[in-house]
Amino acid sequence: MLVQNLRGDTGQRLRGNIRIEKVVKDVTFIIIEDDEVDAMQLRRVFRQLEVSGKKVFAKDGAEGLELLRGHNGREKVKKPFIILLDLNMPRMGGLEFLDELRTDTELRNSIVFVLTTSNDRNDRTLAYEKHVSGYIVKTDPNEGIINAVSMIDSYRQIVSFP
Amino acid sequence: MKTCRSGSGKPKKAGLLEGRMGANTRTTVRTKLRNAFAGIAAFSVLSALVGVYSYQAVSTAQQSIIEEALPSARNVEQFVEEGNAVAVFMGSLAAANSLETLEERKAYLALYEEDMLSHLSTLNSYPSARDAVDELRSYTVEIFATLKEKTTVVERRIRLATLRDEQSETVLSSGRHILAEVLPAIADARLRSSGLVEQIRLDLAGGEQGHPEPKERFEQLIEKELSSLELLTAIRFRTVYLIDEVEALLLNKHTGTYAEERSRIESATEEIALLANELDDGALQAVIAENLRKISQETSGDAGMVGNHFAILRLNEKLENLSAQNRLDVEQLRILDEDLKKSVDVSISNSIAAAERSLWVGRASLIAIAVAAFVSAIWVFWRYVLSDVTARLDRIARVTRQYSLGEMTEDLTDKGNDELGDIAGALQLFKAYSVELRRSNADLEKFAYAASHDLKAPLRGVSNLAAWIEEDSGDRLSDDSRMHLALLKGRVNRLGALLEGLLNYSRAGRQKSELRNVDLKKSVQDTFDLIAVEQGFKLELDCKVPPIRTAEVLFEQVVGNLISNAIKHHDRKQGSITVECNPSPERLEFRVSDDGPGIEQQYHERVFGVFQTIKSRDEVEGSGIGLSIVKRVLESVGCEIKISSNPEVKRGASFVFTWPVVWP
Repeated sequence: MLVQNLRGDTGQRLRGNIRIEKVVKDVTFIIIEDDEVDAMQLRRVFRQLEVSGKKVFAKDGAEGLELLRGHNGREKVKKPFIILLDLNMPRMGGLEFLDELRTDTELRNSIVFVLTTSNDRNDRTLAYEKHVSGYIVKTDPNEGIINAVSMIDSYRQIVSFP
Repeated sequence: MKTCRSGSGKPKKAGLLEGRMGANTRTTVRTKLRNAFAGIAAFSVLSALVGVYSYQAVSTAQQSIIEEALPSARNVEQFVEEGNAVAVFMGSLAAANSLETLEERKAYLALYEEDMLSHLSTLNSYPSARDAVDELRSYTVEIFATLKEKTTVVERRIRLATLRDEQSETVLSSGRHILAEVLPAIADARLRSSGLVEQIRLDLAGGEQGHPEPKERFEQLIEKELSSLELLTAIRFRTVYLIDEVEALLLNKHTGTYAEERSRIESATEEIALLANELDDGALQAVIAENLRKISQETSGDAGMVGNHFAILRLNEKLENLSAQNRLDVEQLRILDEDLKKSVDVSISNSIAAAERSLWVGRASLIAIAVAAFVSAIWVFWRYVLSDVTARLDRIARVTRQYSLGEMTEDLTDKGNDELGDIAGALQLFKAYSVELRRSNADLEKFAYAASHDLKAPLRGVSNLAAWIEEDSGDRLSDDSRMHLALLKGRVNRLGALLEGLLNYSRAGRQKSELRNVDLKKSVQDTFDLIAVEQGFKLELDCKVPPIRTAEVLFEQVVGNLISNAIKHHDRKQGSITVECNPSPERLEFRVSDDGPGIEQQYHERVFGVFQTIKSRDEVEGSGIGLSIVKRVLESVGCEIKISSNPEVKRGASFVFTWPVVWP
């Protein structure tokens, strides 16, 4: 199915015969996800959709902050970047991370997309209250992931970053 | 990944109820209420008794006024009246002329004396009047003593007067008798004298000389007739004088003393006697002498008429004195009466005041006792009923209501050793169980969530990895490996389905669902359309039920599971599912029938079990959860489900379940 999708509509590729100006803008993707396989899946999809830009991975919210701030020996991620955030993580979960993010003067205007299995209304509300750019639910047959990543890539290309 | 929390231990239950029923310290609510009522009744009786007592006191006070104060006033009144009457009567006593009258008046006085003295002794019961009474008594006694004296005097006077009257009568009649004799004698003598004078004149006129008769006649005239005349006239004058004197005496017009008067009368009598002595007429003389003797008899001595008369005069004087004394005494009595009246009035006012006071005291004590009894009753009621029973009852009721609404925060600690205490203890236990149940449910919920989330993640991972393997090296795989991969994917999906089923099952029947007005017919149709899309099955719907207020989600869950079950287990590609609905007052009856292979009798129970399938999962991919979910949901609303199917006789199976009309 995945193969079929690649050949079929992938939004970005086929839009009839209209050529789209490809804006070369290097945006870093920071993926904060604790599940190894889910992270792997994202890598695959990025590869398949040929999404450009550096991809940095963190295992939980704390590690994510270290990356953003350049603490603990990590190299600080430069702007512009998009954060793909999971919610259910050990040590520091997604919502906690968002709290930290939005109180940090330097980081508060970061663009965050939540990618989570949680369909909890409460989680959703809280996430949007913490000004996420989008809340995406990972369903079990996860063809949706491809659409989601595709959408994020389009976003990256079209939207002006703070 | 989060771990599930294990449940805590069971609450203490054994011994809690038993501990409350200690026989020796147990006073049941019934006993308490009975005691409370007994207490109140006792207080009522007590206050009634006190009321009666107070009433008695009041009527006693009233009586004392009526029996003592008023009679004493009356006594004084009467005493005074009698005193006045006696004062008036005193005069008439002195005026009594006869002994009978005197006796009458004496009797009256005796009565008056008796009455007055008895009044005085009655009045003596008043301490404030006692002094006055003593004085009054002495004066009263004085008065009546004086009156008695007077009576004696009057009696004596009457006697003397009677005697004197008799005597004077005799004297006067004697005197008149004398006159009666003398006057004709005088007339005779005058006549004779004038005859003689005539004769003498004649003689003298005849002139016969030497007639010796005129000189004899002249001598006769002078010596006899004229002297007789003179004598008689003198007697007459003296007798008249005597009579006058006597009459004057009787009329009290005399001027002399006793001695003078007596000597006058005696000397007059003597003179008459002397004169009478010289009379020639013997008969006349005798008569005069007789009468004179009578007169003398009646007038001589101190016991004679004059003496008596003067004695009477002396008695009158004495009477005067006694009367004067009486008057003084009466005057004094009047003054003392006034004092007595005043003091009796004071006594009466005091009595009335005392009575009023006791009345007031009675009233006040009555009110006080009534208030005290009321307050005590209130206190008893408060202590034994309100605070002990009602308050606890209220609390138990309130907390029970809270518990029923799911509000389990408050504890019911009731220490009473009675029925209420038992109830409270039982409720505490129920609360403990309920809290435990809730916690257990919460744990289950968390577990289900954890299962759903944490178990699905690796499942997803496996599924992805398998897909990637297939994608990346699909051509390089052997047929076996490809089949293995396919099976792997199948098993992963099954696991996911089972997990999903488990999650649904655990949720089924525990969710609070929204109530809406639902058209059940439409709901069934919609559910069918959703499930049986493009599958060659048709729905026959026979539903005569109006819209009801119910939980649509749960209903669709039940119907949906039954329909998808029917389709899944159908052995043919096409078939029909019938849904019938029959209303009845409390429950709606639904029948979902299909024309599939049916279910054997022996499995009618088993199919509702969790993860129970009839066919192996390789034949029919099913979690085996659907029917158990249906059963759980129906049980949670107090309904049931039955299968009617006998494949040996006829194809098809019918599931009959009930659904509530009024949501529980």
